[in-house]
Parts: sequence; C-alpha cells; structure tokens
Amino acid sequence: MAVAATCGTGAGSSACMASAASKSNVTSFQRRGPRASGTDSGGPRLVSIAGTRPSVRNGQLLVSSGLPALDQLLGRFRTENWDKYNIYSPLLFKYFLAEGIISGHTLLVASAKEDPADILQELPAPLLDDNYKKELDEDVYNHKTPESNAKMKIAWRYQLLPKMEIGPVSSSRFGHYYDASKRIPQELIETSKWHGFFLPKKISSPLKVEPRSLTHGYLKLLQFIQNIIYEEGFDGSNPQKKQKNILRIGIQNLGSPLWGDNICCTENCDNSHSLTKFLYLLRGLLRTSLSACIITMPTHLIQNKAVIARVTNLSDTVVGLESFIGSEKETNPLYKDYHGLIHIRQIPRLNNLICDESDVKDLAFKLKKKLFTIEVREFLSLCDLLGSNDPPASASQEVDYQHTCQLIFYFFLKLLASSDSPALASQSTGIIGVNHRAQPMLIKLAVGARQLLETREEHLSSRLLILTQAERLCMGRRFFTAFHIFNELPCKGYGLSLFSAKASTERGICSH
Amino acid sequence: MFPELNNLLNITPDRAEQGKLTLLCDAKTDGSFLVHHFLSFYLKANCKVCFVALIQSFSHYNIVGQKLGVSLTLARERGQLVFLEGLKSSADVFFQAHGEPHPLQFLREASPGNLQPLFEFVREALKPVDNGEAAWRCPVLLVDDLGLLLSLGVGAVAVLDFVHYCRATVCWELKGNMVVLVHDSGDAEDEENDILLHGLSHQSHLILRTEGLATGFCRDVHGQLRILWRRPSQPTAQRDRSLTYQYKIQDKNVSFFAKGMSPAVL
Repeated sequence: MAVAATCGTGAGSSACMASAASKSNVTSFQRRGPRASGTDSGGPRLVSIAGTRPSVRNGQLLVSSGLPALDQLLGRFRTENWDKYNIYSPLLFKYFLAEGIISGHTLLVASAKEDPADILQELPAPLLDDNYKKELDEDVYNHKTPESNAKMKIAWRYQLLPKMEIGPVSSSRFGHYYDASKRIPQELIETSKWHGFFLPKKISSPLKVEPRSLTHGYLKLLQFIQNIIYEEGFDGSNPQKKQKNILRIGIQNLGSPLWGDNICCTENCDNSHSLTKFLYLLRGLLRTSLSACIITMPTHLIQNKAVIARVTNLSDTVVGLESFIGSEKETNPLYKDYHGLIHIRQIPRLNNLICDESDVKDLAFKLKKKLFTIEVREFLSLCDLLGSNDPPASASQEVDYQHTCQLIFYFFLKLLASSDSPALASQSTGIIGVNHRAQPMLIKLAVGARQLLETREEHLSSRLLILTQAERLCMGRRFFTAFHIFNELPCKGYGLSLFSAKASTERGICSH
Repeated sequence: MFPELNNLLNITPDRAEQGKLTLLCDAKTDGSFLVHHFLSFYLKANCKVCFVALIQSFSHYNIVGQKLGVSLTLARERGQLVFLEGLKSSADVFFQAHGEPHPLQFLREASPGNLQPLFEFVREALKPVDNGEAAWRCPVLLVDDLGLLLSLGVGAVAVLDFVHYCRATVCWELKGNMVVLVHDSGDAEDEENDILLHGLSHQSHLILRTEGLATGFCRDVHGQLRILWRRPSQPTAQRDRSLTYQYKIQDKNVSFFAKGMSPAVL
C-alpha cells in the first residue's frame, strides 16, 4: 500500500515533500523538518498531496486513518482490522472512509453486504469549526481542534495546521475528528469521488477470465480495483493532469461467506488459498500505486487458525478489536469505563529496520456518544483498592489473605510515602506472597506500587519484590500486564522484579 | 550487515563459507532484519546474489540496504544482484498470459503442482558466466518468505522439492549458499508450515531463530536470537552447538548481548 502524504500548508508548498511517482519510488524524497516552511527551497519542487504527511523516519508517505489516536499507534497503512463479533470494526472502517472524503482522496468501497452508497451515507460527520458549515466558499478560515482533545489522556503529537485550503472538501490537515452521532453532510459526499463495488450487482456479469483458484467474488473485486488504479492513473502509468491523489480502498467483511468464500464454514476447505492469494495480489497492487487499504475481517467466524496467521503475515498492520459485549469482561470492574480492548498485533517495518512502536500495549477503546476514543487502560487507583474491595465469594481464607496483603502493602507504601529522607526509604523492601486467586489484587497492587514509586523518584534503590504462583499466573494476561508495568519503568534505579515461584500459601512476609 | 552478528557467527565477508543452507525462522516476532543482514553481507562479500523477494518491494530492501552500506540499484546494474520482485509482477502474471513461463507461473494455476519455472529462473540467474573472468565469488540464493508460497497455494511438499533442487544446484554444484526465511506459526496449527519448517530444519547447516520474549513486550530488548550450528550430512555423534542472545534493533544496527545483560538493565 502506498501512501503518499505531504503536509500541505495553505500555500501548497509544504515543508515535507513527497515523491511524485509511485509509492515505491522515494528517490526524490527530501527530508525536511516538519515545521520548516520553505518556499525558498533549493531542491526540486515535488507534488504535494492534500491530507497526507511524509514520515521523516522512512521516507514513506502517511495517510491518516481518521482517528488521530490510531495514527499515532500505527503510523501507516494497509491495515487489517479484526473484530470479534463485528461490532466496532465498521466504525473504524467508516472513520477511514470519512477521512478520505474530508481530505479529498478518491474512495473505493467494496462490500458484499451493504450497498456502498448506503455505507457512505452513514459516515460520521467531521467535527469542524462552526464557520465551516456556514460558509464553504470563504477564502481562509481557521481550524481549531475541537474541545474533545482534552479527553485524550495521553499526549499525542499532532500536526495541526491553522489554515485550510480553499475549496469545499479539501482539507490539508492530517487527521480529523469525527462526530459519531451525526451523519456526514450530503454535499460532502456528492463532491467527493468514489467508486463502489457491491458484490451482488457485479456477480451477475459473466467472468471473462477463468477462475484460477480465486473465488468469483475476489476475482471480480481484484479486477475492479486494478481497473480503477489503471484508469485513474494511481500507478503512475497514465500521466495525471490534475493534482495527484490517493486512492483509499475499503473492503468490508472480507472472508465472510457473502464473498463466496467458505473458510468460515469449514475448517479444512479446498479453496483455503483463495483469501490469501487475493490478499497477496492486492498487496502487489497497493505497493505499486498510491493507495491505502483497510480491510475488516470477521475472525470470529474463521475456523481455521492457520488462515488467520497467514493473513497476518500478508498484511502490514493488524489491529484487533475485542469488544466486551457479551463477554464476561463486561461486568468486570476493571473494564467498566471501556467498551473494548484494542490489540495492535502487527506494525509494519517498511523501509526501515525499526518500526514506530508505541510503548503502551494495553489499550482500550470506548465509544461515547460522539467520539471514539482510545486510551491507555487505567487501573483502579490506590484509594479504590484500599477502600472498598469486593470480597470474593469463596473461602474466608482468601479474604484474609487479600486483606492481609492489603495491609502489608499499605504499610509498605505508607513507609515509602511518608519517609522524607531517601536514606530511610532506600532500605525499605517488601516481599509479599500472593495466592494465585488474588490475581486481581495483584494488578491493583502492582499498579498502585508503581504509581507511588513513580511519584517518589528519589527513592532510587527502593525495591519491591512480589512473589507469585508460577503456573497459574504465567498463563494469565494479567500477570503479563503487571510484568509489563514493572518492565516499563524507565529509571534504572528501580530494581523491580517479579518472581514467579511456587505459591506460599502461608502468609509470609519478610522485610529486609 | 551487522558487525556484532558477524562476530557471533564467526564469519567475515572475506571468509564466507560455501555450500551452506541457512534457515531463518521467526516466531512471534519479525525476523526480517536477518534478511537485510545477509543480503548486505553477501553483497559486500562480492558474491553473486539471486534474491527472490516475495513479501516486500525492491525499494524497501534498497532503503534499508543503503543504511547498511550497500546499494541494491548499483548491484543490480552491475549484474551482481538478480532481483525477482514478487509483488510487482504478481498482478501481471495473474491476469495476462505470457508466452514463456514466468517464474511466478504458479499464481495462474488452480492447484499449482510444482515450482519448476521458479527453479529454472534461479538456475539461470546463478549459473556462472562463461566469459572466463571470475567476476563474483560463490553464488547465493536468498528467499524472503518461503512460507508465503504456501499461502499462494503451493503445497508444502512442492516447496520442499524446490528447496531440494536449489540446494543440489546452488550448494552442491555451484558451491554457493542459500538463505531462506520461514515464519513459525507457533500455536496457529498450520500443518503445512510445520512440515516445511521441520523439513528445512533437518536440511540446514545453520539455523537462526528469532523469538519474542516469553514475558512479552519490552522496549529495550526486542527479542531473542538462537543460533544453532548443525551438520546434516553427518550423523549426530557430536552435539550441535547452540547459542542464545538477545537483541535490540536500532536504526542502522542491531546490538546483541547475552540474556539479561541488556544495557538498559545493567
């Protein structure tokens, strides 16, 4: 997938240049600082494309996914989007398309279930300044970030440009915010250029070429995409007279039985290579053209796990959405603020040895009335954990255990918190033995400890050792979460270790 | 190439071994940095390289190669590098019939039987030029993502046959080297991939296996590399030598260190 991006300022000649030819060609890429405004550049003038941004790191052009938070996490694009139970992935899909409309890119929407025209009607409306809605023909107007930015708990970098280009649809910003409760205004759709591929309509026409191991639906879609790319010149073969543009392809529910593929129906089907072959050919098309593609797949329907692994290898970015609806996590107090988890399973390392990995892996999303936000999963604060604790329904032994370890922990933390002299605090070490059934407690303790230790950075040699039961906790994600928390502590002075050892059922505490 | 990895493997560009099959395997992480390493290593060692790149485009390898000190465009022009770019030619091969068989001919077939055209391409690319002068040293075949052939419909046995033919020609006849990358699907129950991986493991002289850390993501240690030297032709009277290191990938280099000795921790 090729993504061409330039951060276009109002004047059109941006600081960041892009290669004019197909994505793969970056020979004419010039690295400039993203903030430099240079019309007096000595280098060759390159075409700038609205709504895109070059990556300083690897010479690629980046396209926004429509969710600025996701942009920071992913960076770039040919994404697969897996949703269990298919509830939230259409939302990301729509954000991607809406971003395309706002940025003036060409869209190609393919679906076997809904008519693409209907999909376009349901795109979220952009959150813009009120001025925009009133006068579309005004020359210059300011764009302000909507207030919702304050709700982001993490400080993401955004390339915000104060001015917009003239024109009804064009916006040279990278990444916009959308109001999920409103629909996109009709005039925006009408002025945008899009192609739709609705499978039931296209399937009736006879195939001109023989099947060759792709299912009928995939073959038609591939031909359609190839035709569009060729005719509109996204692959550089036809010289485009007007401004160069990006093709945003959205394919919905690939792999579902509606496409004629039966990998969802049986575990070992004969035509299991159809999907992977289609993805490979699509990847080839995207690599040689200026386009980006988002694909949503219903992985909960696919019974053959090997196919999922192969699909992962074939895509650049893979994002998994796990919604809490219907699962046991819905009632879990840890997750009460969120609607689901986001798993970033793969990030591309294109043109580079390293990739833009974010440090945070525990991400959750929530869909408020208007906005879809992605946040670092927050745990209960220390007050909660020491205050009310849901007593477990099982034996009192456990309750005692938890309370005891709460007590010890509280004591230990008080020691840390109250001591003023670093020397005293440097001696404090606590070891807490935790029963495996106190697993939720462990997380709370771990987080609370970390929070406290972080606020007291001068206690460089404080140590906190937690002994836990090996087998049970090693298999649980929560163990890893706690481990990650400790591992991510930046300061070298913290000698924090999480030991897994046989459970000590006696409530032993040693401190030295 | 990464100097630290050269030290670990005890090889230098001047003194490259011959007739070896190296298997690069990654599980739950991305082992493609090893492909970049071997590509730049053999280009610097003045070997003739045939690179079958199925998963990424030419510019990707070129840009990373420039960071590592080799220019792929220059090598291609000089004839040192023969590059088969799978992605670029895949759509062409699929939709249009060619006169002569294309190396990626199997894309057109409903149930592809063999990879013979691909083998012919490799053999043609690496055969020694008959003009008398020994321009390049030993020929090298690099395949990025052999496992991708399974996704394209080729059976595991056909891929193993292809590797066998290539080994016979490149390693035995031409005294060259082979480097292939296969992803380990882990617990994804991909039987064909497992067959391919096990078959290759038994044939290879050197196995470089990158794994993610067992405890999950860490910012300073990106993974673990296991190096296994084998002697497939001799019975295993002697134990195969194996070493394990952890690594961190940086912009132009990869640093290796013993387990637990990451500079961030010490």
